[in-house]
Amino acid sequence: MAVIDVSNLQKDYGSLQALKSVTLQVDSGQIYGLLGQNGAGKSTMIKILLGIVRLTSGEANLLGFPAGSIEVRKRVGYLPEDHAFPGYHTGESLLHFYGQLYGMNRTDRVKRIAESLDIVGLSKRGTSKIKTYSKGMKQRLGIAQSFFHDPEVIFLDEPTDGVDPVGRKEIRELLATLKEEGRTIFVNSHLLQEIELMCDRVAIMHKGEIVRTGTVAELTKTVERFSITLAPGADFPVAEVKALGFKVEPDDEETHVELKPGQSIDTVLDLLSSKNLRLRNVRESKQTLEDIFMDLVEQAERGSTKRGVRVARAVSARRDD
Amino acid sequence: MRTFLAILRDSFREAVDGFVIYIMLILSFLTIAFVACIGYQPTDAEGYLSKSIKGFAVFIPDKGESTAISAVPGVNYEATAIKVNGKDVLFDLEVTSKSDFGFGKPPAIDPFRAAVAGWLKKAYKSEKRKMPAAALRGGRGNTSDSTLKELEIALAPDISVEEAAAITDEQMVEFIKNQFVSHYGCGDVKVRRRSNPDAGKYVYEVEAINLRGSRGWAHDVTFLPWKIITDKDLPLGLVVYVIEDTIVNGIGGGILLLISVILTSFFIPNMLRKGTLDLVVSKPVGKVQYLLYKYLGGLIFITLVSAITVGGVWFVIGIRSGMWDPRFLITIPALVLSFALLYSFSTLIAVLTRSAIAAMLLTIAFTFGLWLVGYIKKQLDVAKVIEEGNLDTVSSVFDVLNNVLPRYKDLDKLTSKVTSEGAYTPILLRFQDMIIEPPSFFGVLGITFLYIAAFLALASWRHSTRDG
Repeated sequence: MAVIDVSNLQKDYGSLQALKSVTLQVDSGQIYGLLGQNGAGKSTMIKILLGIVRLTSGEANLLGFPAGSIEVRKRVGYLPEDHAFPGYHTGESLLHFYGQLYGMNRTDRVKRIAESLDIVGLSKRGTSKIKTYSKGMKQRLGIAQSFFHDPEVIFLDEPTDGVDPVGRKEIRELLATLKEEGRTIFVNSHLLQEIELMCDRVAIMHKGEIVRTGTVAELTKTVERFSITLAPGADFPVAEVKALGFKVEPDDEETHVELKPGQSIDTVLDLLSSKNLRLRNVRESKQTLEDIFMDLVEQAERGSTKRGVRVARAVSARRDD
Repeated sequence: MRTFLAILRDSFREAVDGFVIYIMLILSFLTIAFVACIGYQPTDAEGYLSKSIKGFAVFIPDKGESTAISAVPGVNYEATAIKVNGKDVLFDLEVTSKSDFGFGKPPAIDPFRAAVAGWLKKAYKSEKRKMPAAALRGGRGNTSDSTLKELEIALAPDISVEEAAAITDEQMVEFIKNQFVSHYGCGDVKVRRRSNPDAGKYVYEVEAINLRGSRGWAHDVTFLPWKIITDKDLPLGLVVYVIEDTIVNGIGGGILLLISVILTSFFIPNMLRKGTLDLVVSKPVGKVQYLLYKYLGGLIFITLVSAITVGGVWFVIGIRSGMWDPRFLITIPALVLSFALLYSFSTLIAVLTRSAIAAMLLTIAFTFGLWLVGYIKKQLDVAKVIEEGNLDTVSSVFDVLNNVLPRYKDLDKLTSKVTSEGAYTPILLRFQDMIIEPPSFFGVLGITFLYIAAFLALASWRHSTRDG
């Protein structure tokens, strides 16, 4: 059963459509990344799932319950983007306050708060006022408050925002640990590399629409591309390879060959062999998530999002199969 | 309950962190210290007793239980052979009763006996008379701040010769004892009739315990070592009432409410800040529940401050004056209710605008508006009595406004009334009740609660339907 199940979700702010018929399922035990530019609708979707924002139409279920129900919120953790913790609290007192809202008893709170602050590296500053914390410390406290009550699903909106590279690595490791414990983690981010490094599955959102979903591997393998380097002195037969129907891009010492569906790189390698051209290197060059994302954004900006939607549906259908 | 306590503690932390509570406690301490500096010295026994005992000519029928007052002409009260023992006073009370004074029909009735008979009577006819304009303009006691009505007085009782003759010595002693309660608030009095030297004269040996410390006894007022009010024959109860009602409930309460409105106007907007609200409402607590709990947190905070201030003032007044009547403590819930009204309005504005400045300024304007309506209505009520109703249209507008708006000022009047009941002597209270029309208790509370509920309901509706 999908932990998060969103179907034809729409959210309008007056004439502005923040979400346009979004459909999305997230299975249990994954780290799921929602990628998109600022203002794409990522935070709105999380807020609808948590009942902070009301949906306009469609359906949104979390852990089998309608999104936002009090019962569900007990089992969910959340780190909002641009969070503002009350400065009058200390790290510990804030977690005690939130723990009381979750209905945790004092014994559990004391135990879990100490563990959680230790995990995020704040155990020595737990009794300091939050207003004395750096941005990175506040972010780590935010992550601690999102999981200290042992939730099944954790929503993190830009979790590595303001965190230094070492801290980011620690957060990634922490999320991996939480995932190993069986929790589902839903991460919103516009930091492509972060998503690529930590997520099992990714959805790309643009202007309120999901334009593509899949695993990182699936998304970055949608176009097969090889880089071929020949022995010194040999010329790559560009015209002949193009004549076979391949797209070829010479680039200094190596040549990039892009495959269309149904084509195999073996055809090119056979041609090179028949012409006694000696190979020095052949490697499959994966597209990065950034490449995919930028392509999609460019397509969308050109008004060609239909293709993206079609691809997304195809990927989604393949996953469902 | 755990959620409520958690939010309450959170509000408390916010108040403590922002020095709000320290500011309030310092003001509270200064108010208590100021009142503690005020001392009360009983005036000279001989002079004051000789003057004030003449007031015994006025009595409260129905053994002091009636709402009217009455008097029988022809009775004179004198205090002689006065001895003072600390605050206790021993003296001879000489009652001269002149049957030819004009009271009654032939055969002549002893007026003193007629007064005692009238004091015992329950049924009294009454009539309404206009207050003299000069009295209204000049203001007397707290009448300058109250709705005035026509004076209602009890007519002299229709006492028969037989009724007067049937009055026993014990009933006369009981009457005199009750007069000490009515005029001085002094209940511990031993009265013994001496042998009657001649007809029409009654002599009683009186031992009044703590008479000079009673609320009806005139006191000089000191501030630290300095005497600030002397030789004014101001009864202790009246002085204490002015301190309780004017300094504490009036000026102090006004300042407390103003500062509370300013300081607490930040609570709800802070709670509604982007990034703060999301953190809380993503927890298993309803948005409306959280808003209302925050509101209650503010109220409890003010309840604590009010209780400390008013309780402290009550305590130091008790120590300094010996008056321990707890009715002054009604000021605590009255201040809380006033604040509840203002804070509910502030909450509504905060939810609508999310701005602490807007919440603060509009709430102050709202308070001033309510006060102004109450003040103009009072002036028009006075003018109506003096000018014999030439201001009907304007007056009706303000009557309607006063009736439909929260009764901020009427709540103050009710508090004053209850406070005065704890400070005044019964005779003074009867005078006050005859000329001041108190507002309806249920009307004031009902409409105030209605407005609080309406403001909170609107705030809750807007808060729950607003995204984020």
